Amino acid sequence: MTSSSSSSSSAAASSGVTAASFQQHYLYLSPEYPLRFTPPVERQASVFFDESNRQVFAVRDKDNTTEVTVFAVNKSNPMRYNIHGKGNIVSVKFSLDQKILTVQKTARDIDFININDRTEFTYSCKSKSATQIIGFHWTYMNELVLVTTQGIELFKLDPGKQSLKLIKAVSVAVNWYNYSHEHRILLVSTSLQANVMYGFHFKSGAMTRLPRFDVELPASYNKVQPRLHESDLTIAMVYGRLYCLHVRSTGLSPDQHHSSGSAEIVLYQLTREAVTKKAILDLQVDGKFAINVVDNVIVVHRQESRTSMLFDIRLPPRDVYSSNGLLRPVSPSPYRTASPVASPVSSTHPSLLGNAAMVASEVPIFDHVLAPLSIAPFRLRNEIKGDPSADSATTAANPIDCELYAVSWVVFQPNLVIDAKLGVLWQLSIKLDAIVNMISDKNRLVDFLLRRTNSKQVLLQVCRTLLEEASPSWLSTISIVFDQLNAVYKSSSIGTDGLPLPEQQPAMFMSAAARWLSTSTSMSAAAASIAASSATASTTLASSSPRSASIGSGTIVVASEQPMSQTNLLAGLDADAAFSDAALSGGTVVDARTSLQRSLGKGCVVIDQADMFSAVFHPLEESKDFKYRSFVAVLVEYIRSLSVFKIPVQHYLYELVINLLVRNNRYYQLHQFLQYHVVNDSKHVACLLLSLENTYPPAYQLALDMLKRLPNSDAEIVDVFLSKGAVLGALRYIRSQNLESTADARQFLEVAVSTKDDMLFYTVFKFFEQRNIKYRKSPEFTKDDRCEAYVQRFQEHFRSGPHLTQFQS
Amino acid sequence: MDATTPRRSNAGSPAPQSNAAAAAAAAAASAAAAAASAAAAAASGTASPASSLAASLLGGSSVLAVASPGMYIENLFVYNAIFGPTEETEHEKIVFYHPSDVPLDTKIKQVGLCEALVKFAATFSVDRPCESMHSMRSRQVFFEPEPEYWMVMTVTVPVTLKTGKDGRQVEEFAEEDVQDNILLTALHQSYAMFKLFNGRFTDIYSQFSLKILRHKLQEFFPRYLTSLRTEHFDLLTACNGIQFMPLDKNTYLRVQCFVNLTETTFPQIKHTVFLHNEHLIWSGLEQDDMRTLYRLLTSGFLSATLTGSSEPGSRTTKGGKASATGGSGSGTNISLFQQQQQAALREMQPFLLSNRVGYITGPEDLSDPDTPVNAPQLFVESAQDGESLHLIIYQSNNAIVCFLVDASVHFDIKFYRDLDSYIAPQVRGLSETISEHLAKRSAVESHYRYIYYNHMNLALKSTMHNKRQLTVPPDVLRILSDMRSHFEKSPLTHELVVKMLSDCWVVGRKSEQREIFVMLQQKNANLIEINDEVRRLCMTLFNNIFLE
Repeated sequence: MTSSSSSSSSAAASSGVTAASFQQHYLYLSPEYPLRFTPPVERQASVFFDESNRQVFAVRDKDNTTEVTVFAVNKSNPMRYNIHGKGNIVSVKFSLDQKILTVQKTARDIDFININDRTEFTYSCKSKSATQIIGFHWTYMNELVLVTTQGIELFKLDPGKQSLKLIKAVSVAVNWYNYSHEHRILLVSTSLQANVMYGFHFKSGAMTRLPRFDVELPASYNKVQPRLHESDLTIAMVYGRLYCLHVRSTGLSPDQHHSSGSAEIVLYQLTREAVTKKAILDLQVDGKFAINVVDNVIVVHRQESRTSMLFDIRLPPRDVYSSNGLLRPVSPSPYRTASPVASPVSSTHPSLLGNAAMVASEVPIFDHVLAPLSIAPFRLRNEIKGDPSADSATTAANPIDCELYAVSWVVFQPNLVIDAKLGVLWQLSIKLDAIVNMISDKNRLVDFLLRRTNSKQVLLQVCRTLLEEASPSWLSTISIVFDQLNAVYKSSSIGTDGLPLPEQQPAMFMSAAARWLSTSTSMSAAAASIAASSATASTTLASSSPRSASIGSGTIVVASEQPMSQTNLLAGLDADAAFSDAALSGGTVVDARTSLQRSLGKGCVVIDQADMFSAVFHPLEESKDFKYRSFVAVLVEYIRSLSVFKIPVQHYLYELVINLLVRNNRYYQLHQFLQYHVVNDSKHVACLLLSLENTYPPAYQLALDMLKRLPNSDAEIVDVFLSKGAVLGALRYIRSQNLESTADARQFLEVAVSTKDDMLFYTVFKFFEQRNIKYRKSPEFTKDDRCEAYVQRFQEHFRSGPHLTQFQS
Repeated sequence: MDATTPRRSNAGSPAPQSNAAAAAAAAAASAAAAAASAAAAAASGTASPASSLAASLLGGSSVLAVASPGMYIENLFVYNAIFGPTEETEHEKIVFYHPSDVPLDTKIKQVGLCEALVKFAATFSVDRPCESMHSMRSRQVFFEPEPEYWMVMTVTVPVTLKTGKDGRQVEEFAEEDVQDNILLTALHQSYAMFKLFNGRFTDIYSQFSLKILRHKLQEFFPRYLTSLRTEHFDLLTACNGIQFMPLDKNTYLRVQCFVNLTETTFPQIKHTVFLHNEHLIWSGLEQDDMRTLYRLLTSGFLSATLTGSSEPGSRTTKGGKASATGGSGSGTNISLFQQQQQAALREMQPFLLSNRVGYITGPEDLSDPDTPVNAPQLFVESAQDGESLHLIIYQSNNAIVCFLVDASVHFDIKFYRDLDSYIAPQVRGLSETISEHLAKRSAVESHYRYIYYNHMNLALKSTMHNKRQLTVPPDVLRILSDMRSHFEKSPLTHELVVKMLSDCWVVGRKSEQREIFVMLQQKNANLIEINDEVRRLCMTLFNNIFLE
């Protein structure tokens, strides 16, 4: 996919302005991202995009040389090179280390130009004359794959000798191919109908074959044999699994009554063992489509209508909720009354089960998440990056309203859009806050949002509005939302309490391992990511392919030991490959990438208690118009959900509940909560309860009970007693706990004196004398006891005591 | 019953006996004495002969040959001296008198005597008015629930006829079988129950009239009194507590969330109460109201009154429509209300008997849109001003859910149908879960016989009762009741130990607001062993609470 031919660009531009500008948009072209490149296509220049390095090459003839301008996404200024000779350039790209410029000018030759020392050599096809180069790609450092009409050849470049060494070759008649650098996957098309696919996966120095598979074509129609086109296939990673996405028309089949036709996308999952049809996305309309994957959402652009659809294959497929038109019974939610507690995951919302629905032999069919809408309009500021010489006068000052879904658009994986005519490269993003108002089923919305990166604020906002709006069944809705949030929260915090969820255990373990690695060392983010993916690779591959496992982790260990450097960057790529490796091994890798992101803390959508408290509950507490009863109900729901998922509840939530009840004089209800240990024991809560004693006397008992259940709270209990002047109670307590030997006599005597009860003072004094005899063999207090004042007081008040006479004598 | 085993240590012995032990135990509790337990053992050594010396009297129930009237309520009346300040209007003082067929003169005399007694006693004790009067044949307790309104209840002292040495029959009154604290609580409860259904005396008087107040009392008390089982008057009555259902946190939270969801789905519901097996799980009412409602739900009051024939004319007709002829003359609206009330109560009748599913109060027939809806009105403290509430009781097997709904809103059958279809599966599910939970739990139920009572949340637990039947000799409970009043009178007492003639040890412990009473049957045990046993018991049963 290095040329500018694409599915969308070949279609005729539809005329007429749609009403899109009046609608909301859920897709937008990232405003901070656009890469401008000049010269635009129209000025006799060719533009190439290299996915591997994400570079745009603008090539034009200049005098006797060819000028190549390279625009890179992460570089501010374009680089310019002149290469000898004129002529048509078929393809151009840099090697991964940016040292060798590779230029294909003819169907049989590739030039290798070392940018630093300007040395160059040419590789020509050695085999039969009919052989033509279809394309080439740098797979790893100094490794290059060449796809010809006769087969695939993997070469190693020796920069010193200026030669290519053949590592492996596969002979096969190739119609065309599809390569995904990100995943190092090559799919080549063979056979007459071009629908027999051979897959290859590249690892450093090696190439492995994937199982051959046939792409199902629509039935032949009017005796025209359908043929699979390159543009019909897309390789993409969705939720950590590799898929080959095939757009096919279904409307042409004779059994269809509608002349309008319809199309669908079939998802073939690629693994080392097998290629299986996993899902079908029903597009409902026919036309020319282009596919992006944004944040694990499959975005399907349709040029005719200038709209895009979203598909999320983790949302429940059609069958789950099409029967009654509802995603789930509205109320009462079924899992509440079903036998609970035992396995929270299996009893919760169906989509939390991941792809459980897909277990069935039937391929699940997905509908688009939302009605098709167009991408948000984009206004391009007229500043062309790094090329002041460019002729900017024509477009001066006026920002351009970019034509959306233009003929000149080309899309690249995962989420790149290039307008070759305008000379712009965008990243496509999903506007989550716009989606909030488009999905009315809040549980479905949360389901969707949870799987998106950076959706935390949006999710919290959803929770907040859900509570503020108080729609009829809001409590049951929020109850399910809490379960949805906490299922993720639980899976992210797993490992801290060692309670794995029954489902998805391997993936959970991985994420735990990755998390541990990333938090326990001071590795840089990149290194951590490597470590994380090493965990991914090694744990998942262990079962299927020991060899690749050792390769994967071996590479990574080296990388992670090194400081941040150039090699690390490359190692990062390796890790990426190791990751797709893991994905290829299939099966057990459920959500490796997501969990990896989660563990790194960047894409994680874990809404923890602190988030809920600060972003939802605390603001609610401030707002006066929210009824405390509803509020308490919400908090109890949240605590219930946490507790079902066995997540320890933070004390501030309890304090909030307590404060709410206290503020509204619902002491009896509070008492019941404490009685059933809805509020977990903690010293925080115990102290809070003690402070309530004046308004609600039973709080004292509750606090003491709580302290008793807590470990290491003897000192607090004694303090409680003493603060109430209950010296005898305190003494009884320390005696029952065998704490007499260490008790601070002074503390007790002080309180005894303050009661002005001489008998009490006498009793306490005698108690400690007894204690001294028992533990120190003498009734006297030591210096450390600092009880001189009390000894003196005792002598003054009880002169006739037996000890006193002893003293005098 | 084995006649050779004296089952009661009687004739005034319990009091001094427990005092002796109390002194010893109090000494044991005071921290200073190092050899306290030894001293206590010595004290108990002296105490036990005392109890064996005590004149034993055969239990009333064992003397079957002799007519044994036992304890029954002789009368109960309410008076307010303000209503009849002069001699001519003296009878006006009587707001209510049961039984009603007593000559007015007797009523006036009784009321006058009590009034005099209360006034006389008040000169000696301003803060604490007269509570009881003992006589040989009867016991009278007094209670002033609202200013100037006095409630008086008189019970007979159980009597047995004994043949003396000279062959003459002598009446022996078991005065100690009648315990003031229990009677007082019973009187308080009767008032609370009246108030729950009718509101305060003063409010009825000021809102309606004295006549209506009289009428309401007349409607309520005879039925209530017949439901009282004086033979069940024991420590449990005196505690007037609530048995809570022991549940794990998650199950409890499910109940809690069910309640919240139901209340938000049906905003007409103001409060919800959830019980299972007559054990409380959640109360949205305040404690005092809950206490009374709990008694209503667990006592036989509702069913007993309705089967009882004490009230002529209020028979049930098929279909539940009351044909009350008794309540006459007092304004049609009131009598209509009363009829509804009675019909509503009548509906509750079967709920203790069968494991039914559906409304106990509320609509009689969900399929019939014109079905009468019988939900009694309740007057609860928790209610906001002027808010009146109807009680809807829903039962699903062992679970009982009470909804207090806003009485100002008219509920059609649709509300009940919606509510029914909403809660039915959930309550059934919860009930099953709780039953499973209980089944697991009952396996580990201890063999100890004890009563635990917490004043703070009224939590009550007794293994001395099974359903309402005693699993320990009744005299044990009588001793416990005495212990309890002793704790009340002397706040410094923390522990009381009594050894009974039957080698039965009864231990009472008080810790802050909690009381624990244990009965231990160990032959030839000494106080140290008993003390250890009680400690073990506390360790196993009450490990999660703070006991001194």
